[in-house]
Amino acid sequence: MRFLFRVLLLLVAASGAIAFGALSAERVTRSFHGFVPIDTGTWRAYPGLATSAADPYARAHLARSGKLPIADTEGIEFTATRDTQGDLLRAACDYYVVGNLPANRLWTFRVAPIDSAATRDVWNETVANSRLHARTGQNDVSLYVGQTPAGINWYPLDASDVQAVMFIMTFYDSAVATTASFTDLEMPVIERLRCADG
Amino acid sequence: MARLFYLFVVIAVGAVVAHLSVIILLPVTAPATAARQLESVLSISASSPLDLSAQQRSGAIELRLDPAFRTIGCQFDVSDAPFRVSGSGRVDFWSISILDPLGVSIFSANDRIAPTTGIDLTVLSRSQLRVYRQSPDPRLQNSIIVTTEETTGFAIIRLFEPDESWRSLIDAFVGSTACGSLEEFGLAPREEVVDPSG
Repeated sequence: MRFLFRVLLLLVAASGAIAFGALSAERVTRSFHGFVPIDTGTWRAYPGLATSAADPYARAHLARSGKLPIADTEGIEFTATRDTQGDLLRAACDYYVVGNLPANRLWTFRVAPIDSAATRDVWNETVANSRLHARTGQNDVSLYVGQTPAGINWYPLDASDVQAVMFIMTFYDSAVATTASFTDLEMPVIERLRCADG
Repeated sequence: MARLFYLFVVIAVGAVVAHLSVIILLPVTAPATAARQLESVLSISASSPLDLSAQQRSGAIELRLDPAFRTIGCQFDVSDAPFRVSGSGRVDFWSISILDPLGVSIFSANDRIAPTTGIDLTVLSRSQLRVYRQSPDPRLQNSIIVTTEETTGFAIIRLFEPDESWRSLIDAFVGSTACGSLEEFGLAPREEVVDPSG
């Protein structure tokens, strides 16, 4: 009887451990993108994500997302989920993205839904890229994105079925990805102008 | 009391082990990793690359590729012969990434790094590299040589397509791109070409 009790206790402990371990792994890999990102303002990037240099958590998150990342020699991708004031980016709002950019040969800017239940098509639209962008300086950006038309470099945000969005800015052939110095990195600020729902 | 503490320790240690196991195994076991998605649409026997951007637009794959790029891909197997990919044309930017079977980038380059304007890259296994070093093939002198520990993998090429007007140029580049074993390129392994006894 005592033996049976011990076995039962061990079984309970083992199943509890497995359940707790697996659940925590599931929770962590859903939102945690990995260690040692580059944080600059509201923007965040994970150099080395495509290679074996990525940490196990970054690789696990990547495996779940199904995303094919670009390698460092190709470029580097920055994402932002909040504006410079710290509020979540929303499809119902208008934003002004302005400022200097890290060294790059070309860049692209796109908006993606954070909610995976949103229509997949949103992934297939680039908002802006350096070829189509009217420049003011050598290596800077000044673009409006949102529902309200606004002058030069305005890009309509057609994401009526999504709430929270993220901005993805990718720099191709960028020294940022291949050098270890991220200290002087400049990224544009994201200003919220107005929101359709107040 | 001691037993309760013992139980707690067993659960805690077990949970950590289970958690780490899930994290480490996810890149292999997750149902829709980038590598699995690539496997589902690519074929080793194909002699021309597949348009992954079109596959993404149709919803067959969800790799979150940058829509400002035409992304094409090939699958390779170097167990019998080296693999080569080549293509040329006028594009603003191209980059290539060689992935291992799990989708981890083992090599990447862009058009500034390559010795020629087009793409010319050969993937060899370690033993094939030894043969190649003993008698380098002059026809491969401009080819980027990449060695792989694994026998299979993927080659992913990204071509910048800023807008519709670039479509014909990109189409021409994609049309000129071929991938396959060296034999398929009419390049038989060197040691078979030069027979010292004959």
